[in-house]
Amino acid sequence: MKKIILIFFILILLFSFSEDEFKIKRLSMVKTQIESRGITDKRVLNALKEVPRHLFVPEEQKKHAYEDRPLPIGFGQTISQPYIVALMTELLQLNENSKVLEIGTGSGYQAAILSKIVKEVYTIEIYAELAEKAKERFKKLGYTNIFTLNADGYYGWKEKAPFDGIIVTCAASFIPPPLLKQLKIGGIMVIPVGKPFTVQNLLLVKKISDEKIITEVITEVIFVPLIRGNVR
Amino acid sequence: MLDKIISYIILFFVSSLILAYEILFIRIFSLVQWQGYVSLIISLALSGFGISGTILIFLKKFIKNSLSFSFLLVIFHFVISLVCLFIFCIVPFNPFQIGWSKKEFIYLFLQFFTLIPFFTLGALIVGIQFISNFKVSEVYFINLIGSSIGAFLPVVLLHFFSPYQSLMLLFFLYGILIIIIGVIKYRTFNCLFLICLPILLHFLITNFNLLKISEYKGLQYALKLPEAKIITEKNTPLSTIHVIKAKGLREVKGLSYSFTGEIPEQICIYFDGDNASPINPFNEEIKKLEFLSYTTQALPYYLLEDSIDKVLIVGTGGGEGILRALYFNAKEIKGIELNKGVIDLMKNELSEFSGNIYNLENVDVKNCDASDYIKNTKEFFDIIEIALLDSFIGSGLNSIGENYIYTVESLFEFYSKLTNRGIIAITRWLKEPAYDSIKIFSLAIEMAKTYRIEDFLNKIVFIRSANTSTLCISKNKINIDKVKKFLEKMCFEPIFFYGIDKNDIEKFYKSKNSDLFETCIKLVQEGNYVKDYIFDIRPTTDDRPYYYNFIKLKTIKLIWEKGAKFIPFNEWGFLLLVILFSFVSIFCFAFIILPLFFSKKLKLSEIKKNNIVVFLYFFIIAISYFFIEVVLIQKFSLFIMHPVYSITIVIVTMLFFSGLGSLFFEKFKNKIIIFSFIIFILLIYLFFINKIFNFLFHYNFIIRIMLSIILIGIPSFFMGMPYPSLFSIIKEKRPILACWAYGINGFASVISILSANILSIIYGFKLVLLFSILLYFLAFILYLLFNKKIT
Repeated sequence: MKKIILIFFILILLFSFSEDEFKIKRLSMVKTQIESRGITDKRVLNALKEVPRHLFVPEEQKKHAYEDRPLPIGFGQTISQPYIVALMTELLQLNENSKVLEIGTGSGYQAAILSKIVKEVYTIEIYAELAEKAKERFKKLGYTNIFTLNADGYYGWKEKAPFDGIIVTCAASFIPPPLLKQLKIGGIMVIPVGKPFTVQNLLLVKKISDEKIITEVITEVIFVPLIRGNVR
Repeated sequence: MLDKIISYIILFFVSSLILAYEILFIRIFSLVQWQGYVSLIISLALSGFGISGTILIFLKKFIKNSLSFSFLLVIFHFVISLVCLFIFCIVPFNPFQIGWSKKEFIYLFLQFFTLIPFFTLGALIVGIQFISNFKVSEVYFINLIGSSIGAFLPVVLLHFFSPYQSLMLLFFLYGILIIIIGVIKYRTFNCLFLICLPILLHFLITNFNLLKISEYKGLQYALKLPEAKIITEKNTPLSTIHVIKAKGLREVKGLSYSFTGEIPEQICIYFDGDNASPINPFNEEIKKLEFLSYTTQALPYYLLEDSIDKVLIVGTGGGEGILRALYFNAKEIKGIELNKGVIDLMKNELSEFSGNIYNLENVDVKNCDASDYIKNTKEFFDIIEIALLDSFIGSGLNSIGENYIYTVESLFEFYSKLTNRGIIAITRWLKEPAYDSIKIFSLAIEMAKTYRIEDFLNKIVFIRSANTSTLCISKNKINIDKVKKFLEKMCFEPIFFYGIDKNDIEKFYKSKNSDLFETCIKLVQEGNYVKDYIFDIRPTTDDRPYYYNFIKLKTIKLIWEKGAKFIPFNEWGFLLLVILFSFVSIFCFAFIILPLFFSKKLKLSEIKKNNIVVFLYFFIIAISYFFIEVVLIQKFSLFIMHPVYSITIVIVTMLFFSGLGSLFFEKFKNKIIIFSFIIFILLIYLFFINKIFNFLFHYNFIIRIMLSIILIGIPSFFMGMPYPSLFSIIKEKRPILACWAYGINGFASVISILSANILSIIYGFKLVLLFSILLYFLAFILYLLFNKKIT
C-alpha cells in the first residue's frame, strides 16, 4: 500500500514537473515569439500565457507544442504557428463583451485563446471528427463560453449573428458573403485570402456599413488547408 | 545471327523503354507532385547515361560474351527498376516543407537516387551494344528508332490508360521479353517468376495507395471535405482529370466583397490534381449565378454595357466564362479548350449538372490551341476573355515551361481580332510580391510599342481584387467614369488607368506593399524600368516564351538576403534550374575525369593521349543536337499549335531520321558534306523559318504535321551522322576510348537540356540556335583534327 502511495506521489510530482516545464515553455514562447514580434495587447498575451497549447496537440507532438511553427493535429489538419494565432487575435480588437465567430475550429486552440478575452466564442468546423474532439476538449478544460458547430463555415452561424469579430483560420480564395452579412457594422474580420499552398494576404476586413467594406493587407502568410498558418 | 537478332531486340526494347519511362514518369509525378519538380528529378537521373560510360570502361575487359552479359544486365535492370520505383513511391518527399524541414532535402535526394539505377543500367545495356562487334551505324540506328518509338508510345497509351497503368504495362512486356529470350536462347524457364514482379508492384501500389497525390494539391483538399467523392476520372496525354463533388466545395476567383448573394456548391474539375476549374449548377436561371458579375473578370461587360454580340473565352474549363457571357446576354459565345477530355465530360457526364452549356445553340467550344485558333479565325469579337489558365502553384514550379499565349506576338493576335469596340480581359493571380500581375502589364505596354498602337494608355485599365488582377485592353478609349463606378460598386482597386494618381488607390484595399501601383506607373513613364526591377518582368515573346520565370540575378541576391521563404519554393523554377545545372555539371564532370585517374592502372593510356579532342567532339555534338531539339520544339510548337503533339512530333521525327542518317553515314566519304549541310540547313532555319511558317500556316493540322516531319526530318537525317562517324573510327582503333566517348555523350545530353533551358530563358531561342550552329562548325574542326591524329 505504501508503495502504491509512493508511486502515486512520484507520478503527481512528475506530472507537475512536466506541467511546470510546459508552463516555462509557454511563457518563453510568449516572450520570444509573440512579444518580440510586436504583439502588445495584454489580453492576448495573457491568454497565450494561460492556454495550455500542448493540450491541443496529439501526444507525439507535445514536445513541439511551443515551437515557432505549425503542427499536424491529424485528419490532415494542423494548429497554427503561435504568432499567427496571436496576430489574428490582436487584429480583431476584442473585449470582454465581444461575441466572435471562428471558421475552422481545428484543434480548438484559437477558440480557447479567444474565449479568454471575449464573452462568447462560436466556432464552426466542417470535419465532424475534428468538431467532436474540439468539443470534448473544451468541456474537459472548462471552456464554457465556446460553442461548437459541425457545419459548412461558408454559411456562418446565422442564428447567433451578428458578431463583433469573425476569424477565418484557413486560406480562402474569396470572402464568403454570408460571413460579411453576419459581421456587425464596425466589426472586424481577419482572413487569409489567396490561393492555398502559397503566400496569401492576411486581410483585416472592416465593415463600415452594409455597403462599404475596407480591407487592409496586414502581412503575407502561408496558409494551406493542411497547415493552418505560418508567417513568411 | 540469332545472337545479333536478340541483341538488337534487347537494344530496341531498352532504348524505347528508357524514353517511354521518362515521359510516363513525368506524367505520373505531375499528377502526384508538380511537373517542374519532377522534370528536375529526371534531369538529374539522366546523369545515369554518363555514369554508364565510366562503368563501361571498367567493365569492358570482363565482358567476354556481350549477349550473355547484356541478358544478365537486363534481368538485373528489370528487378532493380521495379524495386526502386517502389522505394520512390514510399519516400514521403514534400516540397512545401523544404522551407523549414531539412529532412525534406534527404527525401529529395533519396527520390533522385532511386531513379539513377533505371537510367544507368538502361544506358549500360545500350552502351554494351555500342562497344560490341556490331556495326556502329546499325546499333545507333536501332537505338534511335527504339527511342523514337519510346517517345511516341506514351502519347498513344495515355489515350487509353493512366500513366501509371501504361508504365506497368511496359514493365509487364519487359518481363515477357525476358522470358522469351530465356526460353529461346538459354532454354530456361527460370525467368517465369519475373513476371510476378510488376503484378506485385501493381498490387502494392493500388491497394496501399502508394502513388498518393500530394496532400497540398487542391484535389486532396477537396477529397477531405465531407461527402467528397470522385464523380469521374479521365486520362489524356495532356493531364489526368478528376471531377470532385463535396460538401462546401466552392471556388470563385476575384470575387467582390460587396456581393451578398448566394454562391452555390460546385463540382470541380482538377487537372493533375490541381488547378481547380469549378462547374456551377445551372438550370437556365442565369440570374441565380449573379456572383459571376461580381468578379474582376466582369469589367469588360460593364464597360460595353450595350448588347454584346460575340465573346471568345480562352480556356473554357468548367464553363465559368461561358456562364458569365450568358449572364450578360452575349449573343454568341465561342470557347477554346485544349483538353479534349474536358469537352467530352462537359458535353456528356457533366452536362446535366452544368446545364448543358457546352451544347447550347449559341455556344461553340472548339478543341484546339488558342494561338492556332486566333491566327486562323476570320471572326471578330466584342470581348476576348483569357481566363486564369494555370494554378497558383502550378505556374510557379512550372516556371521553366513555355507559354505561348502570354507573349507580345500572341497578345497582338488577340487584339487584332477585336471588333471596333472590343476588349481583351486577361486575369492573373495576384501574388505577393505581385510580379505576375506586373509582368502582364509590362507585356501589354510592349505590345503597344511594338505594334504602334496609338493612344494606348487611354485604352488600357488594370484593376485588382484580393487575389486576382484583370487587365483590360480596348480598341477604343476607355470610359474612366464607368471604370470608377464599377470599382466603387465592387470595392475593387485600380492599379492603372489613364490619369490615375495616389488619391484613386487604396480606397478599399490598404496595402503596405504599394509596389504594384508604383511599378506600373514607372513602366509607363520610364522605358528602361524593366531592367531595374528586382524581378524578371521582361515582356515575353515567342522567342523567349517563359512567362512564369520571375527570377533574375537581382532576385537571387534578394533571396540570399531575406531567406528562402521570401520567394516560395514553388516560384523557384529558374533558380532551381541553375542550382541543378551546377550540381549536375560537377557530378557529371567528376565521372568523366574519374577514368583519367585510373588510366595508368587500367592501361587506359589511350584516354589520356586523346582526351581533349574526344572529350570536346562528343561533348559538343551532344550539346548541339539537344540544343537544336529544344529550338525545334519551340519553333514547331508555334507551327503545329498543340503542346503535346508538337513535342512528340519533334522528338520522334528527330530520333527516327537521325537513326536513318546513321545507317547512311558511310555513303558520305567526305564528311565535309555532312557538316556543311547541317550548318547550311540550320542557318536557313535561323533566318527564314518564321517566314516559311507564315507561308505554310494556312494549311490544316494534319498537313502541318506532315510538313513538320519533312522540315524536321531533313536536318535530323544529317545530324544523325556525326556521332557514328567518329565513334566507328574510335571503336576500331581505340576501343577503350569508345566507352569513354559514350559516357561523355551521355553526360553532355543531360547538361545540354539544362543549359538550353537556361540560355533560352535569358537570351531566347535564336541565340541557342546560333550557338548550336557554331558548335557544329567546331565539331567539324575537331573531327578533322582527330582523324588526322589517328591516321
